[in-house]
Amino acid sequence: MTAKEYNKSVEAYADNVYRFILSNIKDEEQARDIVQDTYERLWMNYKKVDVNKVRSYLFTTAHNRMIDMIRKAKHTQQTDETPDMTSPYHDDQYSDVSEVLEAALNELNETQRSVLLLRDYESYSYKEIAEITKLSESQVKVYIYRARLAMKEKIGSIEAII
Amino acid sequence: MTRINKHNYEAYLLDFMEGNLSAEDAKALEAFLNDNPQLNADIFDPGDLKIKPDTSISFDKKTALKRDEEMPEFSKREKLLIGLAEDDLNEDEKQEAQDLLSSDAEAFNDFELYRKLKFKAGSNISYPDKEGLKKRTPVVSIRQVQYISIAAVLAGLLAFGLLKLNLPDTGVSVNSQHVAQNIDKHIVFDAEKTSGIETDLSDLSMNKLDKETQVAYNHLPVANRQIRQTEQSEAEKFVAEPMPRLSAGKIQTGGNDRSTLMAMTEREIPAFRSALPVDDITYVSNNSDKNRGINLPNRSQIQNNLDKFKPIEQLREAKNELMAGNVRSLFD
Repeated sequence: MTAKEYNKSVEAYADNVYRFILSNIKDEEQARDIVQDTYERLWMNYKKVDVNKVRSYLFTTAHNRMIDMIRKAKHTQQTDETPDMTSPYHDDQYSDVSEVLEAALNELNETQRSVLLLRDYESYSYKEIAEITKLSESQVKVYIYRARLAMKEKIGSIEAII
Repeated sequence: MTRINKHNYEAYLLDFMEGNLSAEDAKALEAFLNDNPQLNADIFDPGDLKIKPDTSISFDKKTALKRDEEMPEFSKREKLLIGLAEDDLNEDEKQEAQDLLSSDAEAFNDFELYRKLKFKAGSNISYPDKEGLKKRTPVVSIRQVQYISIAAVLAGLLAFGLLKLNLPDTGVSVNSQHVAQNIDKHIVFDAEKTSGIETDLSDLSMNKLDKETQVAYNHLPVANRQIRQTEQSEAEKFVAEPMPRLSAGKIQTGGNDRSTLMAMTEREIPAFRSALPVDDITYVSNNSDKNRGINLPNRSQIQNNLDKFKPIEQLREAKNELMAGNVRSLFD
């Protein structure tokens, strides 16, 4: 890709990558850092990156950075200081469906959460998600099915969201 | 069978204790020990000597090591409903799912629920500093650097009194005032007109200079060092150091090959940039510099160097000298 295409990719995908990361880690500052690192990396390699694959490149890089950051945080801070992103949103008192969904999302581990958000936010195929997250396609599929089932069970019935 | 003796009887004993001795050898061993009662031949249970594992210790992350099998936890019904909502079914499965929906109201409701339980990215959330991610196009493009080079050489020549240049017989008359005016046009740095990062040295063109200036330029002893694209941080690094003054000697170090005509050095480029208004300062990227882990740019440091080195002003002064006719012998 060219420098001009690089700048276009900022307009086209920076928000998407930011939303994806922010939804995963719930920390604006760290999400911004990851987006910045991701684009810095793209800039370092933009001549080697196929413009048709830049979106995937960005999400893959951002996802890797995020996983590294989460692992590092777990390693250095231990559980008492690390935000517990797998705990329920709060104790089952939800005011609307979005909160229920949010709670269901928070109950997933980071990999499962990434997979689901890539599917829902970006409409990636299982194959594309597998490439980004370095999982197998069947793992991706299992995670998504499992998450759907968990959300359905949390919501209860269709009436709850009508 | 090897004869049992006092040198090898212990090996027979060990085999016997471990149950590996034939009946014939066992009988021979017994006979040998009876004949030699002075030997230490206590028969013990070798099981007592084996190190046994501590069975109270167990690996508590076995679950994490396991791999998902082919979705055993989902019923056929759920697989069909989720698969349909995910558009993940083949034609036969789709038909099966449709049959299920049409015959089972609860299944239909569940399918609707699966279909609607999708996360949507909040469109109100946006990355706050997209402009900061963009790489600005370089004010000092390769072509501009070319003009700066010309100007720098002239400035250097003027500053160091090298006012006479021996042009070969080109048949072109070079007028110093004209050259000065021409150069003046090109030392107006025009960021808006520069698009993209120009890296193709072969694209360098003299078209923007008129014939006189081209001739003058072509006979200037510009360095033939390849221009290096300079990373922002590298510019920062260089301007943070005491800035060497641009000298004619520094420039006149090579031939005049137009394909490698860039005279600007790593130190000179940021020096020239530092003379520009700070808002116009942008940089050319260099991947290899990035890979060396050079830090991110700091524009303020560059701004702080504005007063340290001002070759453009120097050049303008030189040009004024030319225009004023104070220096008449440059190309005449």
